[in-house]
Amino acid sequence: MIMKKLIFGILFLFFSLFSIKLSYAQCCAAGNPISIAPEFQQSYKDNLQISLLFRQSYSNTYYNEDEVIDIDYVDHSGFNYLELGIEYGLLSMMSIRLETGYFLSKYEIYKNQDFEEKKAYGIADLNVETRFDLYQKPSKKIKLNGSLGMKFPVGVFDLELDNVKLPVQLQPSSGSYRYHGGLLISKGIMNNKVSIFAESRVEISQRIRSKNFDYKYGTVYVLTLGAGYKLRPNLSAFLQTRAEIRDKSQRENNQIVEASGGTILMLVPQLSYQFMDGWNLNLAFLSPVYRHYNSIQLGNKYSFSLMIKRNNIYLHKDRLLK
Amino acid sequence: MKQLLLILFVALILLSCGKEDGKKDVVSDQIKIISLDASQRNIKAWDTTSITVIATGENLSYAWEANHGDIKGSGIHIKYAAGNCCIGMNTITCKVFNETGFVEDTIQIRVRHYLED
Repeated sequence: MIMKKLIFGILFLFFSLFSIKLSYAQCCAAGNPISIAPEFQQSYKDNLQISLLFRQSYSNTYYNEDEVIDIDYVDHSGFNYLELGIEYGLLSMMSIRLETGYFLSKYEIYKNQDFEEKKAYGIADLNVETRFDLYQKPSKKIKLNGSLGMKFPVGVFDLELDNVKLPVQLQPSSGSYRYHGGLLISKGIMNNKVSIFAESRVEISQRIRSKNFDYKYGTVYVLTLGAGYKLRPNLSAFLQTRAEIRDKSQRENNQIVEASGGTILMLVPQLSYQFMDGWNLNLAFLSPVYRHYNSIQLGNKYSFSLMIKRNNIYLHKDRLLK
Repeated sequence: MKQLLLILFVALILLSCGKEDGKKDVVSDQIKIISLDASQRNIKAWDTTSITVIATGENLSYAWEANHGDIKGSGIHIKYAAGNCCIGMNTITCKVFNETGFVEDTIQIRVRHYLED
């Protein structure tokens, strides 16, 4: 009964958040990009998991709210990003995860002839996150996980080119401490051949106050509904619908940045392949199907990510044998 | 294995620290900014304005920074533009420096909405 109420509560929260006034995230927001696919499997006690993620993003169209608008400025922009993730099971129901990212390139190519192409690269933010089981009922194949974490702006936020500071959207680090949390509920059906899941995440940024820059990124909400199907014992296909909702940012004197935030609704097909012993390859593609930006913003056309992960590395094999 | 991971993370974090940009952090009395001016101080989003600094001193170098918006070029003359994200009064800081130290000045450019007449 309590579980039913809990699930109902989560679903209610999920759908209520959908009714919030639509707002979104820009293509090249500063700092680490938010992950595309939810992580179902956390590491269990003494189990180490290492992953390497590559993500590419491309944007080439300006939108005025939900309509395309012709602006002669940026022709296209995007990034190529690598992320190393390490997760370790501290307890049987809790793990800790560290992620550090590096932008191989973060660029803007301009139509405006007064401006030439700008490229940045460097270390992004450091994410420290704990993930824990909140509830599981193996007989009903239901699982509820929670996560809490913090992103530290350890990366480059003052990148210059010829003594000229690059704009904030090209800086590899967000420059801001960010706090995030999430809930993921999943259920296996049809003899575990199909899984359905829902995830909600929120990320809150701390205000940046430096000598020449005072800014607070809008809070980001990510809502996902999806299903996975086991095509073969080692190959699964997933399809998610995902909403990224971003509140408006603020600049000095608490001025609202009107051309920030909005909502983007995406379809995310994903393939997951397990091979050898404990290796996993994940490919996800993200393409917006609906968007509503506040004012005029450059919108993301697509992103894709490729992740290779090694599970089941036991640091204390002696304990495992016991 | 543990040590290797630890070293990797420490190395990544250290790489991001300790930037040395060669600009002395002392105010110099041997450099003087004569003027810092823009061709237009009130522009529409994504339009461009030119900003020029004139300074006296020996072997001068110039660093530029905008709190919002993009800068193109370097040296005594740059171009500035900003999108709708940066509507409002934006501050462009010019730092002139040499081996004796630095001086800096700011200029403010108002950026209007793209669809505003």
